[in-house]
Amino acid sequence: MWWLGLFFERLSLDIVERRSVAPDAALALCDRHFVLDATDAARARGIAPGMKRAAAQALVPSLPLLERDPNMERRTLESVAAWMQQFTPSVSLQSDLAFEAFDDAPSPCGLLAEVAPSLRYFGGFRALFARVRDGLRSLGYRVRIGAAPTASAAWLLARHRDASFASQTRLGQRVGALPARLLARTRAQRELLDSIDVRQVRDLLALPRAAIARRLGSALLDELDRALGRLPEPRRWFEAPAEFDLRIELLANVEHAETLVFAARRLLDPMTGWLAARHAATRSFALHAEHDEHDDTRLEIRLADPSRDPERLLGLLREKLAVTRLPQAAHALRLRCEDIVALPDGNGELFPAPGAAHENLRRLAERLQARLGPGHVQRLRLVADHRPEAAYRIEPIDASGLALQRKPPGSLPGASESKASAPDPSRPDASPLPESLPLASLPRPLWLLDRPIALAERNNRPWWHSPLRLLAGPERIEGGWWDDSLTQRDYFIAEDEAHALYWIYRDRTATDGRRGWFVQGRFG
Amino acid sequence: MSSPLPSAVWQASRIGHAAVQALPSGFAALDAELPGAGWPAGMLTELISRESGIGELRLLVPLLRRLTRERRFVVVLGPPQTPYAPALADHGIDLDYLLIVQAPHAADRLWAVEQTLKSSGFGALLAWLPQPRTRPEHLRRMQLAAHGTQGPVFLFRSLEAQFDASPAPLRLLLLPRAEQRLSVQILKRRGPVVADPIVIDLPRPLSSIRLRSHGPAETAAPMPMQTIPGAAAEASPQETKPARSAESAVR
Repeated sequence: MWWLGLFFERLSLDIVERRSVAPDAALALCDRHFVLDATDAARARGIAPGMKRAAAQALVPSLPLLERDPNMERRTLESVAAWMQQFTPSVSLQSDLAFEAFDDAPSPCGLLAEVAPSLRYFGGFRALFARVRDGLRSLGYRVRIGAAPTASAAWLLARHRDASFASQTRLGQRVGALPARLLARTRAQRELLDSIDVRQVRDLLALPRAAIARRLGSALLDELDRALGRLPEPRRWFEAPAEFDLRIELLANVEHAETLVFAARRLLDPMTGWLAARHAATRSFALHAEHDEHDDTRLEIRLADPSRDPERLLGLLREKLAVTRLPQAAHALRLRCEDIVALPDGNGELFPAPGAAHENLRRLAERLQARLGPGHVQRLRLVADHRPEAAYRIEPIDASGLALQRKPPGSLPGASESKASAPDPSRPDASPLPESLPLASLPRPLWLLDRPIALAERNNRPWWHSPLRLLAGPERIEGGWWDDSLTQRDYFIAEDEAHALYWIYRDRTATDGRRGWFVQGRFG
Repeated sequence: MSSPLPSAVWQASRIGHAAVQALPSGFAALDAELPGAGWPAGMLTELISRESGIGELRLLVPLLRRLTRERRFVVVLGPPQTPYAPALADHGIDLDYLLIVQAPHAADRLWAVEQTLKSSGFGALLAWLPQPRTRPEHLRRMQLAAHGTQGPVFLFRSLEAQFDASPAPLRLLLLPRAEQRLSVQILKRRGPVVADPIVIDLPRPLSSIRLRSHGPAETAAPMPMQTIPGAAAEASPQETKPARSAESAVR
């Protein structure tokens, strides 16, 4: 057995700071009438824990004083427990006195995790320790970590000092050297320990057990026995929820969506940890910005392929936020994720990608779609229709299909497919020609105008900035009688005086006095 | 002849071949004048023309055909009009490997160009820059981002851009010529100044080439055309012109 004890020494303040939209805000946290904790910026202005609320208010009138929220602390700790489960499934919430100055308020303020089975996978204890601590710090928690063969000892060590470890052989020695006050649960116990001059745990162990049990209660002795491995330590394991839903109340109302990136990061990291704990990745998730008098602004992020990479998810969210306009200031953020798929660890790839370039391109398409809108990243398709404007289709791409070469049904069995099956560049002109191409047609222009533009006629010649010379044609195209867009046109290739080529036609259905010349394309 | 200079040092009297990765343009006359003997990868190439539709896209057809056949994606960013799918297919370009990105706002388009350059997953990038909003610092950022990418990067710019300073190492001015030709004036390159424009024959769709090769006689018309009575005299050079140039462009 090898336990990590994680003691969140300033959990209440960490939670409040997470809600902040800017780092380094000056604020203080109160529990009823006393200041419980204050940020560095507030402490620099003279605010100290233990100070009366009224005194703090008098000292810095503009200082925001916030009330501690035990329910929020529990929920937060649960989200951290879910995050911790990426390292081991055996995580348990630990309840203790968070602040010694305020007695009789037991609430969870730490976690215990049994990591012995995970050590080899994460590259040894030191590597695991560093990952846990760095991860928790980037989540915004101040944490002290202890490690020991028993859970209770790990917890005592964590509360004593950060990064204190006890091996199996030196467990008794290390626990004996701890301050005895760590075992005290109430102020009365603590005062008693002080009055009989018991400073260290080993002083306590030197006293007769019956006397300790009578004066300090057997619970304290049991705790000590569990720490030394003399009593079993049954624990209730934490179970992660089936879907991710985390909400934070922002400290300031935020009007610009881009400002939300900082707060959104605080939500994304727990989510990726939760995904890792479930060996899963997300295909889509949604960020809700809540407003006072307006429906939530919902930002849905879709991924080309499932991922739990925090940098990638944040990048997508950042692009989305950059082009989002909030209808009103937002006061809360909520991140929800239900669409998950199993993603095995290690390779991190769901599909074997055909190449790094295609993978990059999928990521690019995804990023472009996030900012420009899904409809603005497109591909072209051929459609079997004689009318030039109906012979193609523009469709938004499905970024996940980019490298997989899925073809939507209904695409013309044309040039593209015959080449996709024969991409042999060594064969000269490897018959890339679609057999269905009407051979007796004029070449088509590379640019198609959005809609045909009517041309004037001068001296019996069509006119577009300068007289047009007809080079080739006519090619008669008729069609569309079946869907009420009857087309009867004679197409020509025309050249203007600057030698640019145009694709023009004469509408044979034109009945009025005009001659019905239109330009529809340019040869590019 | 052993030069003491390492090959990475470019001497101004020579065309810079060293350290330039390039893809053949498909036009021998043009390749002869381009550093690296083709479209350079990993740097900006500016194509300046009066307007779109004068042959600027056909100039790139051999490259696009080759890239899409090699299954490399071509990103078309902010095209001025709709690229016409049937014509692209006629030219032998695989539509599956074309990615069209629309960015109506100038700021979005500049952003998208930079993102694409950074991703480096493309075979070639064709980008139409918003002329009034493009400043030299934008181009410098793009040139930096382009460094190290594997594909050529073409920036299409309007005529007034030719007088602006630009960090692009290769700048070409395109002018249409009669009989489906294009004059390519090299405004800037890594090498001595070229005074005369290079005139190239623009590629024609593969369908017309095949028609010609299947034709019974060498004098057959390159394209199935009917002469328009009013324009017979003017159109005749077009009809009798053999399509040899187009064929060479395919190779």
